[in-house]
This record gives sequence, C-alpha cells and structure tokens, in this order.
Amino acid sequence: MKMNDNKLLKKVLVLVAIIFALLSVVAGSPYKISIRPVSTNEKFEIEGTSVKVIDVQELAKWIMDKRNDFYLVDTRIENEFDEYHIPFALSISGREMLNTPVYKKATIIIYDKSSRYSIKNIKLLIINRKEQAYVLKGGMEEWINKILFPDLRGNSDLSEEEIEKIYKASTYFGGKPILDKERPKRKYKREGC
Amino acid sequence: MNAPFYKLDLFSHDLSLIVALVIGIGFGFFLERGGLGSSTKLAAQFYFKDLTVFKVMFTAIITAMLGLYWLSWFGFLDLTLVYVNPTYILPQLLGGLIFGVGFVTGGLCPGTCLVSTSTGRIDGMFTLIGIFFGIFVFGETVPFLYDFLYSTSAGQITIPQLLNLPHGVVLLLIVVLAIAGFAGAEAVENRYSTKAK
Repeated sequence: MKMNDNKLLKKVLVLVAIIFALLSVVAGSPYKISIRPVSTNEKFEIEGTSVKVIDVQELAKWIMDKRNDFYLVDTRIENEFDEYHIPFALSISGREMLNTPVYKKATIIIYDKSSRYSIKNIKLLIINRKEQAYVLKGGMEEWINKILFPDLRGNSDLSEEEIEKIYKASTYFGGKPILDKERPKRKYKREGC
Repeated sequence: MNAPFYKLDLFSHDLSLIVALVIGIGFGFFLERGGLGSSTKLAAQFYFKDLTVFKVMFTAIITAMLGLYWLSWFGFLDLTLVYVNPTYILPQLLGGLIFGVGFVTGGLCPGTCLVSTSTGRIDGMFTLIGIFFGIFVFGETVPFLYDFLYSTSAGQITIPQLLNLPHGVVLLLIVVLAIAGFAGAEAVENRYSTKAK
C-alpha cells in the first residue's frame, strides 16, 4: 500500500512539474521589466522614486575639473570594462555596491552600454543612495559618440567656442573629433586619460 | 515586489546571519533525513547503486527553477535582483574537478560533511578537517592565482542567454531532462543493485 502511495506521489509531482513547465512556455519572460530607457528629462521616475540623470558633457567636465567627490561605476561585464571604460570608473557589480559602506555615503554615477539601464542597478542605487545617485544618459554609447569621437561634420550652427570645447574634451580623453577637414595640429594634446 | 528580502532592506545584515543559520539548520535537517549524511550512500552514487543524490539534487533544481520563475512572474520576487554568479570557464572546470575528486574520495560534499559531523560520524569530521585545510591552502595561495581565477570570463550568463531561448522553453527542456534522468536513474539502480546482490 505504501509503495503504491509513493508511486502515486511521484506521478503527481511529475505531472505538476510538467504542467508548470508547459505553462511557463506560454507565460513569457519572468522578468517583469528588466530594462527601461532613461528619459530625456533631468529626472525620471522608477517605482515612485526619482533618479537624477547626468549627461556625458557634464560628466566629462567633472572629470576634467578633477572633481573627486563622486564615484563613477561601470555596470557592464568585466570584459567590456577591460576593453575600454571611462577614466576613473570602477567595475563594480550591484551587489558590491550594496555591500560596501563607502558607496552609501558618496555621490555615485552609474553607466551601462547605452541609454537602457538594468533596472537591477537602478534599484540598487535607489536602495543605497536616494539623493546622490545619477545615471549617465546614453551610457558608454553616448560617451563614445559625443565625447571621444564627436561627429562635427556639417555642424555649421556650432560656434567656434563650442567646437573648441568639444575638441578639447575629445583630445583630453584620448579621442578625436570627426571633422570636415583636418584641423591644424596645434595646442591640443592628450592631457588626461 | 516582496523579495529578495535582504536586498530590499526588509532585514539588516545581522538579522540576515540569523536567517542564514535557520535556513542552514533546516537544510541540514532535510539532508540528514534524506540519508545524505552517510558517505556510504553518497559514494554508492559513483557505482550506480544508489542515485539518491542525483535525484535529490535534480528535484531541488526543478523546484527552485519553477519556484523562482513563477514567484517572479506573479510579482512576489524581483528576479533582476537575484545574484547570478559570474562564469569563469577554466577556473570553474578545474574547481569542479577538484571538488569531484574530493567528493568521490571522501564520499561527502561540504554540506553533507557538516551533516555527517553533526551526527557524530568520524569520516565526516575528517572530511571537515580536509575542507578547512583546503580553505587555508587556497587562502594562502590565492594572491598567486588571481590571473587564472579571473581568466576565461563569460560574464553573468544564464542558460536562456547562452542558448538564446526563451525562459519557458529552457524550463520545459530541463524538466523533461530531469524526468528522463529520474527514469534512467531508477533503471540503472535496479540493474546495478541486482548485480551487487
């Protein structure tokens, strides 16, 4: 009798597992919202909490001004970080951020590949720092396109001063703006990183 | 979202240690009740006479996998906050090999070794001493191993990402694999335990 009960129990468990597995095929992803685009506003809301956004030009200025009152956190995978990262960035996983007391007290800017941020990292930021957490608008993609290799071709509406500024930032970080014609080589050189 | 509790600050770090202790005791209790505190039973797996470990482990995987999926789907758990251990292919292959050799030699793994020790088994105690010795050796040599430990990184990858398949399909495949595995394990057990007699 007991043997039969065991067999029946096994069959029921197998059936339950199969039913739940079959349902999961049609139920879709278990991640409710895994990534969310950062809005173009200065702040965006996530689960009722506002997260501040900083753009790449502002971040470049912070670094060039040698500000040391913030942590820049690269949330991409290690290989991508090793390949290239924004100067002074730390490769830190969300978990490490959560468990390291120093990050709870500092201003943190996190960046990802592009303007789509893992909700996981955003949430961890919210948990840690409600007031001094920023995400970098556009992420690494925008950093490359607007700071390292800004395309200045056909930008006739930019003033000479603005072009100078872009050129300076680009060369400071080891990049080179894309221009209509080669700019005369003069005072600019790679200064920083 | 209600879970993960610790990450969502539902309890402090200190309380998390107590929670871990309670879960650990529960885990140990069920391992012992399942007979997994016995090295003879565990070692029998490698001779295909008793595949309880295989069945227990696969059952745990299926339960956890379906549980996590549906808890997340219903919104009780935020799966994006569940830590995924990064994969380092060669270091983890070597680690698995060392673990396997230790397992087949001692007949116990770290969890079952503690269960075995707590019930007064001498072999469990010696295995535990071996574990602490291993921890000590690793701790002393780890500065020289960093290059290797972080080599061949594949990132925080999951099976659905690796196979580029939807989560549901992967779940179904693993459940089918498990059921086939259970059936196969029982057939193998019957064959080898009959031979042994």
